Amino acid sequence: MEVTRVIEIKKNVLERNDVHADELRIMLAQKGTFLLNLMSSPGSGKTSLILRTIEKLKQKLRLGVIEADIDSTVDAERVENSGVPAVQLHTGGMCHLDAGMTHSGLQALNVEDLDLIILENVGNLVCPAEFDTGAVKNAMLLSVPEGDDKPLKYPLMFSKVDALIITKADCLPYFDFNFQAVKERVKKLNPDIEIFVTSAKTGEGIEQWTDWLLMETIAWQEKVLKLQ
Amino acid sequence: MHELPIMEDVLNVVLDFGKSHKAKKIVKIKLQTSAASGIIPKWATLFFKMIAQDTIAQDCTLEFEMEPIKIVCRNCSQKSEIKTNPPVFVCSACGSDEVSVLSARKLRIESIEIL
Repeated sequence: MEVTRVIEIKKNVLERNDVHADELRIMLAQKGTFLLNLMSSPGSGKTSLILRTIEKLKQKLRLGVIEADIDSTVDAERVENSGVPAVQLHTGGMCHLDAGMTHSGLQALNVEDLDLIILENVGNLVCPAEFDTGAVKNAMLLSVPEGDDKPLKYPLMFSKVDALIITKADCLPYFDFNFQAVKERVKKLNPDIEIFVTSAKTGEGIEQWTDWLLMETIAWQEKVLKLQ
Repeated sequence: MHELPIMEDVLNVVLDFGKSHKAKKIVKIKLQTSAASGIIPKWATLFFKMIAQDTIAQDCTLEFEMEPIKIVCRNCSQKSEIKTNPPVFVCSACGSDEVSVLSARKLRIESIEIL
């Protein structure tokens, strides 16, 4: 009978993406470019929110957008039509972005000429939460029609983000959506989370969201500049 | 679904180690993961079998050691482990549900057994 040998490896394979994401963060800090990772289910309104964000912040910050979809260039085209450089990543069926794919998106933009890059992640409430993209801040959307029980069903995503933007607030009259319940459920998972209530259709709440994003970007840029 | 790229990384690492130790066959892979890592052993094994075809890791056994999720209570500051499956995020000391997860995500390749 053949004798087997045991070889010790002791290697965490999930580290690879984390290490790459840290490297991206350092690179972006050196260039003073704030990366925001935006996540949600398909159809929650990420692209609409991005377009509204561009309207408000275009004159104050140099913006760029990285779109990620399994297929199509629909989103990147809409963003480019609003006058902001956009890159379309095709994930080849992958259900989330990781640091490697984010890096390839960044390489297609002139990062040093940009203050804020919004990374629109693949529409998915499960996987994106598990993969660090090298972003400074992570935000997610929850639209009113999706329901107020989503924090119970997808706790990981809600616990990992810095900001939650509730979208399609104009649909409130047609759905039983309990804001207080969402707020309580989310704050239990994530006490420091910022919560915004918006409607891209009416413009409600957009300014509170973009004011926060503007302040975060400027404060971070000042901080990383001092460290250099 | 995302176990697939993760298991591709595992395959690359074990094949590298196997090659440098002149292995003819990889018989077993011992892995350590935590319930907080989102890795489901059944799917990880299935994907691994698919991608290990025609390599020295073909037909090897995957052995998973599952670590419980470690939490800290924001109410009483006590650290504890979640023993239930599916996990219930409640402090074992005071019963509060205001808990934060301490466990980092990991899928650690502990060792391989080779011929």
